[in-house]
Amino acid sequence: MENEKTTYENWIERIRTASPVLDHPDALTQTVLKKIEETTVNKPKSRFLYFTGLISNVAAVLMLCVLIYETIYPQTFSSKEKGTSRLLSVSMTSGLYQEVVDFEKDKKITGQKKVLTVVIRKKMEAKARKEQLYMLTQKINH
Amino acid sequence: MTQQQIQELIDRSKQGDTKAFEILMLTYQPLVFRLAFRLLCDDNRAKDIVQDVFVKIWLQIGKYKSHYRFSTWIYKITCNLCYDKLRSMKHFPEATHPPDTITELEIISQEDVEASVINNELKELILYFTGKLSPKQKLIFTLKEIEELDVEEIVDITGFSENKIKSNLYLARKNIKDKINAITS
Repeated sequence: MENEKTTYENWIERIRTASPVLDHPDALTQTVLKKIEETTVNKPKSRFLYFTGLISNVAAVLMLCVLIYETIYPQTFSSKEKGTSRLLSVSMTSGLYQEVVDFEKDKKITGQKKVLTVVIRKKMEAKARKEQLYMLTQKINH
Repeated sequence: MTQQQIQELIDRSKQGDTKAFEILMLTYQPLVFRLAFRLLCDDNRAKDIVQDVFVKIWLQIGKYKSHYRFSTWIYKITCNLCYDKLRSMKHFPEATHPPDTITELEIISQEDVEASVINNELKELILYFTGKLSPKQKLIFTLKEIEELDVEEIVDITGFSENKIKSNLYLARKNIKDKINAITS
């Protein structure tokens, strides 16, 4: 037991006192400094890449959000505003664009026709009522 | 070098002064090499670690907090890199690097021979007893028994709990004493 302890302590002491020797420490320092200079030179490039990447990522996320919004809340043609945004959202180059414009026009004309029919009908009714009154007053006078 | 002078050099290095960093490097290079050699038992690997440690220090010197001692911070970076290396070596630290070029073998001065002999003796001495230790045991044993650091400082360096350090140290000592017993009996 005593022998074991002494051997252990001797061994530890030998390792503690015998430091490893670094040959050519100056050369090693110069190598490290060269590496450091390389990393310093490369820094602006990597910063530019970092910011470009960041902006691209933000743009991609925004596009994705717009797509998701369009999917969840699809636009209808009912109101004037929504119709316009829908028209804008359809690509000008796609064949759908013309179809959408035609649909909007047809819808407007149909609406106008409906309004006209109601007005004419009311006018005709008023005319008929006036005619009846006229006939009635004629009878009374005779 | 006083703590104030070191802090001054650190502040200058933070502003990109390579001359100040060179002085820091010359001051702490022996410490890093000594620890890396004691852990990895290989000249070339220890030199690689020295390079990696100082490049990392240069890149992260802005993050250094002065409530730690600078040497503790250097120990921490060195230990992390050596621990990763030890784990990647998978308990076979005796496999050494082949020389990079033929000239490395040809041009060898008297000083280099002496350094090589001393380092080889030390390597054999360390490997003989600690070759079978796990990377964690070896790291803790080296910091506590060979570098003679306090347990609190080892906690700061390694991030292991005090109990974990004590249990690993116990196992490492037991392993080495068993080896000594096997030789003497």
